[in-house]
Amino acid sequence: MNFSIEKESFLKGLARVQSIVEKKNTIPILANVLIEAESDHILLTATDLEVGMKSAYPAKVTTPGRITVSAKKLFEIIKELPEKEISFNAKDNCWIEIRCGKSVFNIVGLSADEFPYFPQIEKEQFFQIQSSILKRLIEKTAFSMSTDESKYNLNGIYLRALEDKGHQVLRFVATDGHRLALMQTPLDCSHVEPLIKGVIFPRKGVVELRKISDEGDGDISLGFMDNNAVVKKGQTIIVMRLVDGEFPDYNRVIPANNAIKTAIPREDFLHALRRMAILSSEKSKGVKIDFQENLLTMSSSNPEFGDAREDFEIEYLEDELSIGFNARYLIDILSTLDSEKIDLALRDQLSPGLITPTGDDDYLAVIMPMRL
Amino acid sequence: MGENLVVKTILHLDMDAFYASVEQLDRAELQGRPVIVGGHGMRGVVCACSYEARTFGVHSAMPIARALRLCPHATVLPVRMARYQEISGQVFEIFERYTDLIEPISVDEAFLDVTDSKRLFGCGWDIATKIRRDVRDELGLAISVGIAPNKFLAKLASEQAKPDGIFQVPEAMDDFLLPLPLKRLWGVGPVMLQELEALGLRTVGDLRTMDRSFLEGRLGKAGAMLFRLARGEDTRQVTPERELKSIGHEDTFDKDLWQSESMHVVLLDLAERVATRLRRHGVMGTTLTLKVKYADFSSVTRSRTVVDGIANAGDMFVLAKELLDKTEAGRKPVRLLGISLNNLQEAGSGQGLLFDGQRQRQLNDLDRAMDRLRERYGEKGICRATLVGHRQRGLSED
Repeated sequence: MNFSIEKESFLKGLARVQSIVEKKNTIPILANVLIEAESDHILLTATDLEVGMKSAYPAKVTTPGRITVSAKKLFEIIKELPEKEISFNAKDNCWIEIRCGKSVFNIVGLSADEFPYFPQIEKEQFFQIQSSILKRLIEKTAFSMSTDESKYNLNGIYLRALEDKGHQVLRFVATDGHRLALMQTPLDCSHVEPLIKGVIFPRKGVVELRKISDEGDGDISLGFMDNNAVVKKGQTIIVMRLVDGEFPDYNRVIPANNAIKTAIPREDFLHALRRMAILSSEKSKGVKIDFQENLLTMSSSNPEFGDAREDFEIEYLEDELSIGFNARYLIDILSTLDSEKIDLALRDQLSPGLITPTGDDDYLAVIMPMRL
Repeated sequence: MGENLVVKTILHLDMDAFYASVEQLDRAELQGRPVIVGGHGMRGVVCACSYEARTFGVHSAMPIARALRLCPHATVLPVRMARYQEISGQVFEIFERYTDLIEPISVDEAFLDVTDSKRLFGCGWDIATKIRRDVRDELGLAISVGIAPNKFLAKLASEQAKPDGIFQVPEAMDDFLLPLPLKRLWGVGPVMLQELEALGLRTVGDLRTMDRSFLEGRLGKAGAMLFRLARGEDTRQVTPERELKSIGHEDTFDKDLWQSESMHVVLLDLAERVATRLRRHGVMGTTLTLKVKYADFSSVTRSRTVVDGIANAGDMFVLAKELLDKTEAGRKPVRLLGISLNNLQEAGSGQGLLFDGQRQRQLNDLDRAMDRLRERYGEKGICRATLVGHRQRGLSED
């Protein structure tokens, strides 16, 4: 195999697969990137058997062929090479010679035959979604995914196609058992079988999806085969194994009848939370929020440092209520929203609270209080 | 500095043959008879023995097989730590009536600083007498007390006081201290003892004659410590209740385990015991560690962290089983299994749960109900069907 490629293009491709390759080093070949040279391009493939990515980059191919080599080492080498054309030459016994300017590297790879099979996806049913919309869906929900590995069914975002108020929507839901974020967008995916039942995209796949949705405009194609989700955008394909688990019945925990309602200026709320969080306990991040007539008072205390308090005007006409929340959770929600005000509906100091951006029916967040 | 000039009154309290005494208390027929408490049949060692057994030369840490050769008619009973802890809690409650400066050393041993309690309850001797009376009247158990101006001397004094007595280090401390054999000193183990005997030293009095620089040169830091101890000096404070860092239990088996079913039964039992203790302390942990010791004495640990905390025996059992699958248990015979919980924090405070709140509350109610039954009817009051007869079977499999 022999090809030459522009440094910038090669580096971009290798940078992109760094987050995919397996770092735990359990199966050595999973730390490698598969390089396939054919006609006028190379294909870079990486996988950790959960999330895989294949991308094409233009190259001058002299001799087609395939080889694998440590993704990390190759990236480090290419990064330091001068801004010139790079010549890549695979020789006998998986030795690779890389030349650029006056530098020559000889590195050893592994046979491409050892590399896991990457599914062929030509015939699958896809639906299209705009990159910017997908990005918003992910940004406003992903922070609620669980990082607790023992809750594997919460380690991702739940996607589902359904009819809501007479419209077909695509809904994203994420929760870690303490808070939940839900966002939906008008999109008819009712023909996509797996989405009718609902699927869970794994956390690592969500991160990659977020990245690809951020790489320029254009539509993203989404489809499913076997237990995988397939994502296509431009020259890049991502395949991720769906989380094999039941997503909890999230509708059950979205409060429908929280009678205590308040409207809070989002920016004021967010900045006060950031300030108060500084003196909240390191571990629990608990802040106390007192609601009085048209006034919100927030306070925090930390036995090691001291305490802090702040108040500002809100719309509130109910009985006085005092409630504790993890400031981090509120900050996560408020900082991804863009409405001027948010509506907060509460029931009592132990029941979940419901946050919605004022005038937006497509988003909601549920947050469980803390006892302080 | 002024505080240090006040002569303190420190009590060292030590329950007499605690485990064995509790067994004699719970089974009237054992009173006045030799009782050995220890682990798992012939493989185990003596954890505690009654004074009746001690007269035959039985002492703790002796293999049970040997103890039974010395005292063939002794009754050997398994360790019932939960019961001892229950009684221990009651003993410590009695201590709390007299001071809040209590430093627990173990379930049956503590230092009390009663310097400031004397105005209320009389001199050190009076307080010691009152505590001994309370423990005997309310619990039916004997406790010995040593009284001294510091922890080191108080501990020596309580050994002098045993069994069932009080000993106050006299004003002329040397009369008591100098004749003591060196092995009674804090920090003098078998190796150190050999080294000191090689120097021709036998008693504290002998040690007293040595220069500080000589002892330091010979024994380093330990030498400096011995120099002070030989003069009855000890500036360590009584520090109340150390923060609880972890709670765990482990079991060594009569016969090595091969079958995962048998190991699962053990894990369930361990989980139950750990959970009971967690509840008693009102805490939960976030990291569960499984310890496996194979028949060849090599051991491994596997851990898992659950951010929301672990308190329930069932949850612990499920995690422990998953962790067991990550070891070679079963492919290699297993000699010991242990479960411990770390990163303890106060239970029931903090973040509410969206989904499991209801289930968690039900499990908590169930646990509380089971605890009450056990309080009333003892360990056998209620247990999981899987564990019926488990401890009687001696954890063996055939």
